[in-house]
Amino acid sequence: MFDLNVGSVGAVNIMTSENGGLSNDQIAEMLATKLIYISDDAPEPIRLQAEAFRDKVRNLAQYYIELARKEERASICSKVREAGQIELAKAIGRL
Amino acid sequence: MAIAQAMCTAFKKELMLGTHNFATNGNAFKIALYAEGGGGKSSTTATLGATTTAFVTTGEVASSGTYATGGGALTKVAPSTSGTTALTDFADISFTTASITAMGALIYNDTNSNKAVAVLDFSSNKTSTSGTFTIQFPTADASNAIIRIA
Repeated sequence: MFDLNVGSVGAVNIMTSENGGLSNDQIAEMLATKLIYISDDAPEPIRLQAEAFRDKVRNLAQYYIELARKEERASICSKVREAGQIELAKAIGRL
Repeated sequence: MAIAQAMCTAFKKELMLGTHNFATNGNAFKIALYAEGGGGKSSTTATLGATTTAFVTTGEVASSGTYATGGGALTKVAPSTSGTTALTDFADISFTTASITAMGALIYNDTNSNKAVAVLDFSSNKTSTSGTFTIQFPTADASNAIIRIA
């Protein structure tokens, strides 16, 4: 006899934003959540250590996401300026 | 509760009938967003759960930004196993420049008569306003993957 005893659906994580895209914080949080899962049933010392590690990963991810976005904006500004759109370039630079 | 997280019962039967193919070159799957009560953009209320058999328009949120009624196409990750558990996964999906309030979602098979796969309950209304609405699927392992059979 085949006993298909459990069919389960996982919990999704929803991230939303207002008047623009997701923030660096939100993207870093998504990365850390996906990368490091900490069981609610884990023993306290292990859970605390894992949470501390996840915080470090999130902070590091946030830094590099911010850097990547900044560098991309710099590249876009450069192209827009080359095209003669100085004011638009300045506006993008202020983002 | 009008939206209750569940693997649809009909889907379990259809698995045995070979109706659903989650291989990367298999069937196309979509995810549609639903509102509950007055929180949504739609004037109707969704009722979704284990008894849902197929995609329904009742209670679906209205088109906004890159979200179009009928839902967004999911990118499949090939099914795998972990220990004695079989699992499958999807890539995260985002709807941008969208004003959406949703309480849950339905994953369904767009290739085979819109047959329902699973109902997702967001627990509370999630809202984006002229922004991004992202659904992040859980880690694809034996304990968390979006669809698991143990």
